Amino acid sequence: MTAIILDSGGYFDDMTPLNDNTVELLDAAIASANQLAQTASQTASRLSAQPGKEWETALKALAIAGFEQWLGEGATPLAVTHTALEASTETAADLAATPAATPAATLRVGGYRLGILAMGGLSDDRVEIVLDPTADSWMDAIAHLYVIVEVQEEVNQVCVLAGLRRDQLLQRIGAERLQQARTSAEPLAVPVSYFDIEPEQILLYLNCLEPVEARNEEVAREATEQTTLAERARSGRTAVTESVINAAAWLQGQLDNAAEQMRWVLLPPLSTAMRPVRNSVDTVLETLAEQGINLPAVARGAGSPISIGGTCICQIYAWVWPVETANEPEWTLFLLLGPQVGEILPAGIQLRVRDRNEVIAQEVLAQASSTAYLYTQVQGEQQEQFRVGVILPDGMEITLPAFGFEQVL
Amino acid sequence: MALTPRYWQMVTLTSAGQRKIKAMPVAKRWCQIHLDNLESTDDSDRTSDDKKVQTYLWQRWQAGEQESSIALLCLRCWLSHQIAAICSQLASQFGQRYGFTTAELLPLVLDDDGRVTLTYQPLSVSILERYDPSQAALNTWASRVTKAHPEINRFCLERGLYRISDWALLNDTSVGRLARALPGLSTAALKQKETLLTAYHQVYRRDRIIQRQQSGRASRCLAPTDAQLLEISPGSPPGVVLQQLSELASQLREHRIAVRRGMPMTRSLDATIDNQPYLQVADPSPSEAEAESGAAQDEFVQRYRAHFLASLDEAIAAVARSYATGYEKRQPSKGKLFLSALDLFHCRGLSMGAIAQKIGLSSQVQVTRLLKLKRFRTEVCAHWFNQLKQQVKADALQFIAPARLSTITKQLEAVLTEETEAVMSEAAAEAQVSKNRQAKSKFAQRLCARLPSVLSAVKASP
Repeated sequence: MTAIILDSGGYFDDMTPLNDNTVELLDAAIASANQLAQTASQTASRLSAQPGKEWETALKALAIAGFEQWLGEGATPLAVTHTALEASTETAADLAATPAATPAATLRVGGYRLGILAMGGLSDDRVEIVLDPTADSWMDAIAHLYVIVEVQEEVNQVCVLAGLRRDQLLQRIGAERLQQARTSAEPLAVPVSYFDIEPEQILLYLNCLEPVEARNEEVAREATEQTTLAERARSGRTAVTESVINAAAWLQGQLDNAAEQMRWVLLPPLSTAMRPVRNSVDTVLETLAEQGINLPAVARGAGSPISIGGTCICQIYAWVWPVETANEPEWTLFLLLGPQVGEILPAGIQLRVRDRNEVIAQEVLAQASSTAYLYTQVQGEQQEQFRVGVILPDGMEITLPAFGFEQVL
Repeated sequence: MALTPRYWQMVTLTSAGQRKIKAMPVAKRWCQIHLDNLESTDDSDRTSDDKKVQTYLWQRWQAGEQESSIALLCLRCWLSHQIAAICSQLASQFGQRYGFTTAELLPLVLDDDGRVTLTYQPLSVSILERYDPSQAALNTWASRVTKAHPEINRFCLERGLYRISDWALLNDTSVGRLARALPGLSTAALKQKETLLTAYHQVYRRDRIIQRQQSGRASRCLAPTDAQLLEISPGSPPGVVLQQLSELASQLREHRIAVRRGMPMTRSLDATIDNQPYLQVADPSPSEAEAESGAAQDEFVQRYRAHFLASLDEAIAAVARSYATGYEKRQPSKGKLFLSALDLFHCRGLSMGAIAQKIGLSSQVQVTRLLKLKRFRTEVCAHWFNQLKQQVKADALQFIAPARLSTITKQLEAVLTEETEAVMSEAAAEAQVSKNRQAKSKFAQRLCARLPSVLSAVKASP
């Protein structure tokens, strides 16, 4: 571009025409925006945040207030249960660590969590989405629906432009990048072209459909499993999606191929006394016994380190034993998650077991300590398989291959 | 050099407000004497000829000697054509939809009385006062100043056309954007602009936030005051800083235009293809299909058909009433106006322009804003879908067990989605017809049948 201004001729391409979804802010909306902005600024200065974010905050406040007014302009009242313009960081240290962060603008309408993205006068071909690093899981860090709202501050108007669903975001950006963005708390740049949901469509969602959580969980789980595979591939382990570890073989003192490939180590039988060397597993079992948890004598177990990229994170142990019931014979899977040698398990780590359809057991480590372990037990018919997942405190999920129980006769 | 008569003919307005070309014999004679001698460029490029003439005239005027006022008059004449051209371009691009003509714009900016001796400063002279030939061509500069004229902007905004001011644009541009918005700048030049913009933000944004908090509502951004300019760039003359900021804003404006061309959502809705929003429900798996008994199925289907139209009617009535009541609250009789417009559009098939005339609104855009056609249809669809879903489920429970119902809910919703979607698409397509629209779609037919009762309900309520 040269210093001489290009002749823009007579064309008025820089006019901003009235769009059907342009909203002229009423006094109430402006007052609401001012309030939101002031509260956010006060919080920021309390945390001694860098100045200079007030303008962005002011625009976001107008965006939220304007969007709320737009929602209310129709025939169907939609209950807005929560409006927030807040930094997702809790401490000044956090805020200082992420200088790029401006408060995130969120709304809750019915079951939907909406993320409002303000766009100012200088239109952009991309928007920034900030994922909440304090959310419980990385799925919780993402809103159900993101909406771009153009703010025409000078004339007290906003225009609702377009939306993007969570599953679309997942599909287009990918789980790995989303997880990275979440842990680093850096804003994620998303092209505006991804936002192809029209404002009226957004109304339709909010009016008629509950956010499809289950479906999103599936998408997320698939995405996570792909990530896990990618990690495994990088760490040199063979990717084993289809294999199932046949834990029944352990009762015979054997490891099947799948288990061997995954470097599971068969544990000695529990009732074996007088072992020359006490290992950490024994210590754990003693601790459990003190708490009244005893594994039956016939139980056989195996253990494996869980690593990411070659770094050992923790150890998982599984014991199995058959169970006679009135109907079909069943089996029990007892799982124990322990720290890697010399370490302790991090607080927030989770152990999760799924059957074919849903999560059936979940344990979270509330507080880290040298004697803290996670354990859980599930039982099922012998043709049932269980999928075990370990969720790290930052939300990354490591899924182990399924455990099955086919009696070796 | 062949001279255009624009240098001695001024576009003016009669006392009746009519456009009229006024000849200036004094200017004509002067031009013929002094400008004929100017050498033409070989390729007879009008632009560079113009540039030569304008530079000469400008220099003569700046020199302030005898007859500088004539040189000025020549420029004033030429500029009047530019200013008039801007007005007519604006009207041609937006006039029809926003309800205005060139004739309404001209009085706002054609304020030159044509006298050699000036008693006040017309727009043409203020254009010239701030003109810097080293920065841009005169017509470009004139264009910019005219487009940013406060009266033009006020006029346009009243009709719903918003032109962002340089100052608001600078406000909304983060320093980090500059590198992306102005590629091709040297590192040093970029650094300079970043420093300037940062300083501008510190001063202008700060003051504007205070303004917003004090008066609640923001008003049009004014050019930074001398005090502000001094704070932004101490040690530089305010005029220079203002110029630099304007230049930056102008470059950003170009970038903005380019970006918005790639964003269909920012254009006025009339310009885009009208797609009816639809409900997206997961594809149900067909594996669950069991055959219900024949008779029960028939009865169920019959009930469904009855519900289908009844709930559409109910939805139309409910939403129309709600819109009308909402409008009435904001402005008496606006609700009835809305219902009239709805009737004229769907049932009489009039064009937006015709409707505007008939109900006394000043522009098509106002009718569009009043009707909110797409949102109206969407809300009817949502209301209808929810009603239908409830009724169908309630009916279904008479024939199948609740457990069974929950397994086929997705299928049900998919079917309802398809059916409602079909009706809405038909309505959307029909709405695209700009005039002599026929009320053939189911939606329009049901609407037209219900409108009279909605209207009387609204009229009856206090």
